[in-house]
Amino acid sequence: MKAGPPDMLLEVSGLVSRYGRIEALKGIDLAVAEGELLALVGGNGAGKTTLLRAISGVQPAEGRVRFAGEDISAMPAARRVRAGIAQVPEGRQVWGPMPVEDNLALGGYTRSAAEVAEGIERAYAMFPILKEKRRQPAGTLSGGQQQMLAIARALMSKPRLLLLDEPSMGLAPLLVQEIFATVKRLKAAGTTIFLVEQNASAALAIADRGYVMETGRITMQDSGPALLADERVKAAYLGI
Amino acid sequence: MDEFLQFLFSGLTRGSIYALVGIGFAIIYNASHVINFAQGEFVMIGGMAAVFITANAGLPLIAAIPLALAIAGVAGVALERFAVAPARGASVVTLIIITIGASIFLRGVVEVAIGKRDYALPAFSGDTPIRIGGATLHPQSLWILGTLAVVVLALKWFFERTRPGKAMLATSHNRLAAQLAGIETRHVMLTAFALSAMLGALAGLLTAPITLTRFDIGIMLGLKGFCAAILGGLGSPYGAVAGGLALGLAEAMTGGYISSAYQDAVAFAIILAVLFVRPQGLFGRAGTERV
Ligand SMILES: Nc1ncnc2c1ncn2[C@@H]1O[C@H](COP(=O)(O)OP(=O)(O)OP(=O)(O)O)[C@@H](O)[C@H]1O
Ligand SMILES: [Mg+2]
Repeated sequence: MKAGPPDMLLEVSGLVSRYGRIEALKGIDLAVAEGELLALVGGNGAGKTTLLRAISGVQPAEGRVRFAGEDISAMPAARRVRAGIAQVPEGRQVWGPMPVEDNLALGGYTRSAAEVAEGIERAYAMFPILKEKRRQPAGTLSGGQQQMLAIARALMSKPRLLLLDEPSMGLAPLLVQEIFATVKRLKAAGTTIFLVEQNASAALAIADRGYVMETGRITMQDSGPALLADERVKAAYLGI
Repeated sequence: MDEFLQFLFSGLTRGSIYALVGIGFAIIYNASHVINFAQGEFVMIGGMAAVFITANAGLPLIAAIPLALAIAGVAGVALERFAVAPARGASVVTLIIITIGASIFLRGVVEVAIGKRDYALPAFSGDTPIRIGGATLHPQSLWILGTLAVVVLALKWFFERTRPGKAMLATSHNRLAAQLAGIETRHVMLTAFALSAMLGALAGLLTAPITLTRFDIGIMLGLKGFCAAILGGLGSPYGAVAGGLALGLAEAMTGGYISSAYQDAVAFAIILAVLFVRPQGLFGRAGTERV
């Protein structure tokens, strides 16, 4: 196995994952540098969610995952969170019947009580609407608010790497803009971000680098602007 | 009227026992979507262990109770660790068969190790009945009702105020989100089984002074607890409490006003009725989820 350059925060090599007989990941190689905003685009069923799940350790996979120089392939999901990987899963997955504030507090499950209190204040500063609705069950929030909660919850673990799975899915255009603005702000604050999106134009526009995924394989990689300008990407994902 | 009061006391007492067993079903179902048909054996283990410890080891009741609860807790953890966890991802039917197998095993072990007789545990505060109106109440009934009240309050505190309690709730609401938050869902499962086993054992040692206990008492009590849990919606501990009390009262009234021969049929009738109303089966929803 080749060792990537030392400044790579996440390195994935030869990752294979199956659902029964369906091979959803057919040998994925990719790397995310510290401080980078990486976008992964691809159509329905390309395997994007499966890849993020495998990186978080909630999906069985063969191959190698290295994080901050350490091989974490065999590490259980909970320890990967402690190591610094957080994920905002597809479809938000908030704990609907629990109050907003409990959702946040549990997002900091791996952190001390003081860090949790601090994290909740940070979350409220970032998304004031969450403070307003702190006592309400998370399930009563609108889709956009739930997405904000899901992002804030993931940040509670103080991740070094944030995995975002289609954060703009199902949101009105104005909210989509707000979510992408949030992602940019997080990057500016120094968080390394791995952004999975079907909204390829918006994702590639803010990304340092991008990958294109099709049926379990990475088919293209380049800088964000270069992929945006690529004819094949335009045809397949930008509807131009 | 006196008669009614008498049936009411009887119904609340047995209902509280069913409630405790039913809470155990609900907690395990919530944490893992497993319907643990070995739940009744924890009731048996609680009663039998308390009897064995007081009679054979000569320890006072006050020491025997925590010991019996601890033994049941260990049995619960062992059930999860050695029977349920290895079948992770298996179908719901497989898991049900596994828990039924485990219950037969536990029953057999106790039958061989202790015996087939009926055993009695001394009542916690004597046997002198308390007169209320024209009816009498066994002092043990007060222990049973009081324990249920304390358990309900303690569970409320556990699920709403403590970190492990909230982690368990979060796991039951959305397991994936819990894993992604760094919650050790394996530990949550073990905690759920230990907690349920101890609640079952508590029911077993509370009822042993009134109903006696024997190696196969768990079959019937497990079924009644299951009935309480499904009446309460299966996934709700508080629902199971309501379901248990309702079942206990229905049994007592049936036994009192119709015939005690039909008493045990009430639970079966309720289970059948629920299955009839939800023909996809109770397990329909759980069947699509993974353990
Ligand atoms: N739980 C599952 N059981 C069986 N097959 C699955 C399961 N989840 C995903 N798949 C299959 O694996 C492949 C990859 O799915 P995945 O969800 O990773 O794609 P995706 O790129 O995230 O798609 P989308 O953009 O629609 O979210 C698809 O063919 C899908 O049908
Ligand atoms: Mg997806």
